[in-house]
Amino acid sequence: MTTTAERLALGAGRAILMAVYGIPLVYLFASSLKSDEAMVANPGSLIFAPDLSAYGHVWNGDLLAAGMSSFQIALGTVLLVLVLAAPAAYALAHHRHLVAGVFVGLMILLQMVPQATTIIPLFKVIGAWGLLGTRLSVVLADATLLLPFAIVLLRPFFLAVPAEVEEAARVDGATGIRAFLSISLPLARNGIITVGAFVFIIAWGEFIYAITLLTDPGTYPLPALISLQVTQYGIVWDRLFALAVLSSLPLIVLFLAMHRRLTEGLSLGVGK
Amino acid sequence: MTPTSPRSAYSKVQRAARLALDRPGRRTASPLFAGPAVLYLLVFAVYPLVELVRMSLSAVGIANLLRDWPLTGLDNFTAAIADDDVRAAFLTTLAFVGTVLMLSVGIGLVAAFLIRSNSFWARLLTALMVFVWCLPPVVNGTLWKFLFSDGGAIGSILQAVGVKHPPFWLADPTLALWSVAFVTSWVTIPFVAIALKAGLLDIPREVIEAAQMDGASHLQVARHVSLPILRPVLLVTAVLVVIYAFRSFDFVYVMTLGGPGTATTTIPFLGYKLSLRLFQFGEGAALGVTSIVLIGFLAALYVRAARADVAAK
Repeated sequence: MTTTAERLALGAGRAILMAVYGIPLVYLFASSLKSDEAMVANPGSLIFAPDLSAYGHVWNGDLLAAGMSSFQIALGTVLLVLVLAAPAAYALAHHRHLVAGVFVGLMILLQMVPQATTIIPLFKVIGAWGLLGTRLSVVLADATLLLPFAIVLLRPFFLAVPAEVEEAARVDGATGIRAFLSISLPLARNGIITVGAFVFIIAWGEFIYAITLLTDPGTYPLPALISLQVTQYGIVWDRLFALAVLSSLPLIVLFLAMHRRLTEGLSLGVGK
Repeated sequence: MTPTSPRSAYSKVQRAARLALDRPGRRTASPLFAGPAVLYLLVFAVYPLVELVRMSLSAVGIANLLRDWPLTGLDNFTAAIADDDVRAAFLTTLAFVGTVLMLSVGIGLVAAFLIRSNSFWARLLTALMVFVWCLPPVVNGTLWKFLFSDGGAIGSILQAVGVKHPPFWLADPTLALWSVAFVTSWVTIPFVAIALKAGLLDIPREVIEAAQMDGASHLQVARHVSLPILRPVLLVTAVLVVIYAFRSFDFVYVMTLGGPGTATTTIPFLGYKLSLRLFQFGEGAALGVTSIVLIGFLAALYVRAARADVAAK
């Protein structure tokens, strides 16, 4: 039975974690509502007159261009990854022999290759195709990073589609691509949505490929823009926070819309 | 099992998948469905890896990056071994990975017990942690760079409670690595907590009730019943944390750029610096190949741990 001491310990533990995760988030949003002057006067204080001047400073053409860039890259990556991963996961779910096992192992291994190590060879491949500096190059690089992960994650969802259903479809004459598109894919949609959401989150936040493959900072997505500013001297923190909050907005919306699904997804072993 | 059961939906998918595997195979999709993905990965993942190996065995600089690479054998590797920066980076990475592992798994395990129930506070805490995990790494890095800065929030709070000279979290060569490891763990703990929570929910209720019937307290149940059952999941999660920490790059880049000096220059960051700032592509590639071999070793550990996890179920 739960004793009073245990209940106290549980409550105290939760309160500490709540503070460790909550307080920094309060600073993230509150600091973006400071004026330049208030930030310089007392950066750590949470008592100030909130205003939107920091947002006014960062809200300009560059920001909108970066936002567009972010959407193009993240949505492009989701689309490319799902189009390639769904049929691959479907095929893997249908084959149990050694080759399939080795393939899954290779996917896990590829997923673990440190991102920074393959930038230069990837740079060369993409350069050889004349794609350097285009957003498509970032989509291709991000998809390379996320495709193995998506295949491994999607496979159990296709395995969970009952074989009887697929067999019944085959008896009715649905074969090949039609059986996949009209039977298995719709039944695995939960997996598609969850994996799609994770691919979006990671592609949205990616900046190393972006700063390497994009030659013109004018085409940078939002996180690349932040990485550019945060590594310079003389950071104007309130403006940087306004930029950070605006950059996080789509992810905040995604989180509010499907946090249960994301929580479940995290238990699948999603590493960032 | 009631519909409100907190048992993770994924464990349902996994169970259905396992049941499907136990039935005789009547699935006949052509392996060609994997064709496009395989082709894509050959071009954009495998070929660059081959090029990386070739680069690590050649003399490659900015002048001939897009032209011929003269083979030089293991010169890049011997140069890397003789390089003090490389040796320092290995030690830094070891300390970094060890710290992240201990913090993430230690706190993540406690957090898993704290968010296990379906109460309002447990759900709020879960949501808060998942939210943090979702934020772009640059945003989290920026946030903590600010909190750690001189006159930033942590310094102000410490001063308010009487600490006259709060430490320079990111500018102090001995503290900087721990600070970055802490922030990395801050983002990893939600993943660990939720993965372990799913493991806890998969423990049959009867087992726990039986122990309680015998008079065991919650702490005793956690220690002597839940923890041993959780061990395989714990192992898999720990290996994933090690791999994640070993690859980690974003927070070093955003918060310290490897500094002060080389205090936070881990292997991935050094690889990046060698290739993209110093244009020593050959040595950078040698370091990359070495990391991949190490990761491969970790991956083998992961597969073994994952097998044990499946076998235990």
